[in-house]
Amino acid sequence: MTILIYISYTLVSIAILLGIYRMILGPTAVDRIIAFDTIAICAVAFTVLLSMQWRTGFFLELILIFSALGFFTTVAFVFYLQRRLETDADEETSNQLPTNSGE
Amino acid sequence: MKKPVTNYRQTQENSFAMDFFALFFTVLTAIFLLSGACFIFLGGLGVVRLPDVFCRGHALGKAMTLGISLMLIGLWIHIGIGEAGIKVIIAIMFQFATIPVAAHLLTLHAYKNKYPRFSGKENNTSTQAGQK
Repeated sequence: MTILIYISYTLVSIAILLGIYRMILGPTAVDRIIAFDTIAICAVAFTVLLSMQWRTGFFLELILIFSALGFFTTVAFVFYLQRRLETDADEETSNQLPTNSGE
Repeated sequence: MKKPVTNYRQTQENSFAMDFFALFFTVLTAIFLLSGACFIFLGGLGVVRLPDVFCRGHALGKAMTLGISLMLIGLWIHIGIGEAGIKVIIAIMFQFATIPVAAHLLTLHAYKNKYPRFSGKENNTSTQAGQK
């Protein structure tokens, strides 16, 4: 059982590293938000693995709080990006692609 | 002399049943945990390898939800119903409610603002999108 938990730690850590890679290299801003959501879900998975290793149900509130935090942060990023794109389009009134102004 | 023999047999059977159920729950936990971790790993791989914003949102919204839900079910079996209680079910429902909503919101934003899409023939769509 312990070695399975360690294998799962390894897989989730590789997923976090892939998310960091996409966050650094991501061409648009939405890619970076997707990478952030990936890392938040992997943090929840790490909490699940820790509570499985220590055999307690003490961190279930932490799981709920972390997933809610990731979701609300993603929604806030998207609304901020949308408002900023709208204000940029109102100010500049040029045919610039939105991928440049998003970053 | 009969009763101790039957009691002995019963205790033997009970311990065998307890061992069998412990092994059964361990194997079930291992299956759920490993499949959940593999789905999370595949979701991270899809976020890196897929060529488009929409494809990456698809990898985030499906594989990650299934992986984290399987890992929570494995946690529920591992630490027992009495300790985990109803909170694990609330957490699973919360994952199923929030992660696809976030992925759909991101792809809706990308679709409304006409982000570059992967057409299938060009290989460098993700690098061309940053240069435009």
